[in-house]
Order: sequence, then structure tokens, then C-alpha cells
Amino acid sequence: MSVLIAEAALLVLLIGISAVIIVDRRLMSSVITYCAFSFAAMLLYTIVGAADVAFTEAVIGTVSTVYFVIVIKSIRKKRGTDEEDR
Amino acid sequence: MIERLEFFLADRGVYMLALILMAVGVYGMISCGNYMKKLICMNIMQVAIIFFFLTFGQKDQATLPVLLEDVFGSDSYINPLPHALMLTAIVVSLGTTGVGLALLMKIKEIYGTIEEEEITGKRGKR
Amino acid sequence: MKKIDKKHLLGVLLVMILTAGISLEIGRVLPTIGALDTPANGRVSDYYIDHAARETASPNLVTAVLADYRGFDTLFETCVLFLSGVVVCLTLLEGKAGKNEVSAAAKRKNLRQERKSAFDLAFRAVIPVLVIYAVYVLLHGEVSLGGGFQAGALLACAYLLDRISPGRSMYLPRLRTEATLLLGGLGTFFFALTGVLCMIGGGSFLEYGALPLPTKGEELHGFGILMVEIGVTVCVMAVIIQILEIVLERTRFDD
Repeated sequence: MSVLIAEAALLVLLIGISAVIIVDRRLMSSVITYCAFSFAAMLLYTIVGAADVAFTEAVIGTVSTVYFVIVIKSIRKKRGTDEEDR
Repeated sequence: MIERLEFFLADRGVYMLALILMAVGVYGMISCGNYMKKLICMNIMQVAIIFFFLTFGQKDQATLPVLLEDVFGSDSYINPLPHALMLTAIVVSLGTTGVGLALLMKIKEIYGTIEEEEITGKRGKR
Repeated sequence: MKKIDKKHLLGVLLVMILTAGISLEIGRVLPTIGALDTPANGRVSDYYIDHAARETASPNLVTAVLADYRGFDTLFETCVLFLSGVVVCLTLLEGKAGKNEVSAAAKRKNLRQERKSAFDLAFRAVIPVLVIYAVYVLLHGEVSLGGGFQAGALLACAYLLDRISPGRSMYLPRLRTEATLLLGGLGTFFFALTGVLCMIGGGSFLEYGALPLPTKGEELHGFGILMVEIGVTVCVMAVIIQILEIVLERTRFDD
């Protein structure tokens, strides 16, 4: 299988994941899906041949997801109220 | 059949998919009402742009940009210049996300919500 | 379909179809992927690939470009990162009174939950390995994949793992806002100091061949790259830890 077909397959996966992030109503679910998005982006960068960029994206994607989760925790009103926000 | 697919992908297909990803990211940034989702869509857009840059460095039958002992010639190594620029871009985007989240927490503290419609409603009343 | 937004679903599909149609035309102008004669694979990158082993002592071409040939770019990127840390600090830190109130309440709550969790043994093993791996990535950034950014982010990840694990005090030293600001500034300053050292040695700013060190030739470039990467590592680690600490200070984990 050539590099281009793998790139195209991963890009389709990325587009699917980003559509899920936008469409989902719950905020915490979007942030966890963003972690999966970052992981798939890292795979894409590795396939293209940018190994340094993939390494950096792996670590920084993790840190970024942790930031988002902590901020969600800090702006929730109370435990148990699942804010149905858009 | 696979060769024609590969030709199409190399000419236009991969660019098409990268542009679709970026357009989905921009749409998410514009139309999501929640500010945190806007920040996440900013990162989605950034991944598309970085990938677009990295495709400019690709070469057929070339290896990673780490020099090996018995492989010479600039045709057998991937172009390292876009990689260096994109490394910088990824790390700076982390800083941007941090600042965006700090502003988000401040907005929540002042307005009490991070939904765009409620905030613009409140500003109108003020 | 209660959990998805139908309005957004239609919008996403519409955007995808529109962009697919428009980009079929745009793809005509862009170069073929993988070709050897695209405008990006011009003479500059050929020069970097051919001469990097001789002029800089680093087989990793990306590190050579990032820290040697395009060192200015990296210097100002480090400054921008430090600036973002300062901005987060200015936005979210209120004053002495507000800070102490939140952290005192959090301390009381944490003391009540001081118990051993199942993660403790795992973290005891993982955190030192992460720190050692980060130092390895920093020092081997010239020879194989790695470099300053990755090492700094890995160190910050080790600190993060230690900080957010519940119910015990930290193994690594706890860094407060003043300490992380100082570290971030020191990292950027160390980077600029390398450039000024080159000027003192008789060359221009960030010209590693003029460093006043007892080795000569391309080893000077190796030293210069190492010093610069250390500066970048310290700055990246400090900024990530700073943003983490500031955001965590305002969070109450009540579950």
C-alpha cells in the first residue's frame, strides 16, 4: 500500500473525527474526542515522514487535552449538572 | 485501478482532503456557540494547515531527515525545512491554547457562562 | 439522536461538499505530491541536506535547521512562548488575598483525602523514567529524533502526572508561579546569552563558529546547538507548568 493511500485514509478518519467533535452536544465528550484527533494527526505526520513533528504533536496534544479537561472541571457549576451546551 | 487512484491522490486528492479538514475546522469555529468548542476547532484547523505544509516536503522514495551513513544526495532525504517551521508552529499553538483558556476562565467569571448567545444577550442588556 | 446537533450536522456536510467541489480546481495549481522538483525542494533545502553534516555536527537535519541555520526563528518562538506564559499569569492571578483563599480551602480538602491510591506504585516507576527519557531526548536531539521542544514538553508531562495524581504530596519539587516565571525567563535568557557569547567571541549574533570555547571546527556548532536546546527546554517546560499551575489553582475538584 502506498503512502498516498494511507495519507488519504487517515485524512478521511480525521475529517470524521472533527465532524464528531463539532456535532456532539456534550462538551466533555468533544474534548476526549479531541485527544483521539490529536493521536490520529500524529499518525498522519509519521506517515508523511515528519517524525520530529509527530513526536512533538504527541506530547503537546496530550498536554493540550489535559488543559481542556481541567478548564472544563473548573467552569462546571456543580457535580451532576451535565450542561447540555452547543 | 490503484495506480489511477494514486495519481489522482498525488495530484489533487490529498490537497482536497486537507482543504476539507480546514474548512470543517473554520465552520466549527464560526458556528459553534460554545467558546471552548471554538478553541478546539482552532486546533483542528491548525492540524490541517500543518499537514498541508508537510506535504510540500515529501519526496518519492526518500527517507526521514536524519542522515544515514551510506546514503548521500539530496534526493534521498525528505526536505527538513517545513518540519522545522511546523515544530515551532505546534509549540506556539500550545501557548495560544493556554492564553485562550485563560481568557475563557475570565469570561466565565465575569459573565457566568461560556455560551455565545447568552453573552451577547447580556451585553445587549448592559 | 438527542445527543447531536442536527443543525451542525447539515452544516458540516454542506461545507464538506462545497469545499470538495472548489478544491478540485485549486488542486490543479498546486504541485504534485512527492515530486522532486517542487518549488519547496529548491536550492536552499538541498544546501541544508548536503552541508549539514560538515558545517554543523548534527545528523538530525531538522535540529540542524531549527537550531543552527534558522536559529533566530527559534529564539523568537521561545520569546513568544514565554510571553504567553506571562499573559496567562497576568490574566488569571488576581492578588495575594484571592490566591491564598482558594489554595487554603483546597489544601484543607486535600488533607482530608490523603490516602494511598492504586496509582502510587505505578507513578513511582513512571515519573523517574519520564524524566530520564526527557534528558535523553534533549541530549540526543542532534543525533536522532528529538530536540529541545520535545524534551521540555516531556519534563512538563512528568510534572503534570505527578501533580494531578490524587491524594498525596508530590515527588517532584512543586513549582510556584514565581519559580516558573523565573525559569521561563532564564531559558530565554540562556538562548540569547549564547548569541551574545558568539558576539563576544568575534562573530555575529548566533554564529556558533565564533564561540569562545576550547574546541574548534564543527564541534563548536555542536556545543552551540546543545546550549540553545537547553534554553528552549527550560523555557518550554516552565511555560507548560506555569499554565498548568495557574489553571489548577482555580479548580475545585469536588468529586
